[in-house]
Amino acid sequence: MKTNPIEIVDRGRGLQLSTSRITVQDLVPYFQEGCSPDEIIRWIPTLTHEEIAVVERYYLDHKKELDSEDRRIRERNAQRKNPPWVEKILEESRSERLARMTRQRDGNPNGSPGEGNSRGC
Amino acid sequence: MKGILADVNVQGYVDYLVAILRAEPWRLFWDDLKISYLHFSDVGLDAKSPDTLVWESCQQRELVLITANRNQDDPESLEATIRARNTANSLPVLTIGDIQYLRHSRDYATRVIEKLLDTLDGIEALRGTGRLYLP
Repeated sequence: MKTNPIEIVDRGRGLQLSTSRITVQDLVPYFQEGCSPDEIIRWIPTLTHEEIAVVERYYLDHKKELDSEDRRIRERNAQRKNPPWVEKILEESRSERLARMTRQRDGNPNGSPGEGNSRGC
Repeated sequence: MKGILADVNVQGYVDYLVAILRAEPWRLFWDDLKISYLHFSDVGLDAKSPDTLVWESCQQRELVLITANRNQDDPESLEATIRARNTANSLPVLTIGDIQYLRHSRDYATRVIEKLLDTLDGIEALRGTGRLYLP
């Protein structure tokens, strides 16, 4: 039976495996930290030992460029944040969730009488 | 929104986060969401599915994709797919900011979980936002 060779290809989203959507840059941090193939598979269980070996060979052959690109990716990701209006929605949803859970724990899912903005008597 | 889908590059990490969410003290919050947690194989995608297919599958099945972003913003990238196909009704893609740090810091994992819950709880107000970032 003929099997497809495992290669490094460019499908317009950065260099990746021909057999998987995992990119070379997905694995660069693991190689930098000296992770074993089994450790990598623990976190990315769809990968095979053969696929990891192909990417690792490519990494070792192009280490300088890939480490440099990794630094750019980390800098880019560190700067990417949600816009303030999104963060406001997230804060509101957290407040609502905590209030809902407090009511459920207290056994009153509809809220206590007079709950809301009123300070009561 | 019916569930969350782990991209293959973060599958082990999302397994880890969901395992924490399914245990105390988070279980109550996770159960309250009433959503499914799915892998690619659960929805008929394979490990080499292109970004366009993954994104479209998520929209059709009402799933929120969780991924990392270590790719280039090239023409076939997820970023380009979102730019080209995102509508006001589209579910956002959630990106874990520092996937490697998740392996080393339980405190960071807790912050990711809190932000994930915030996002999933508020998801209807977040349609059309494209890509959102977990811390």
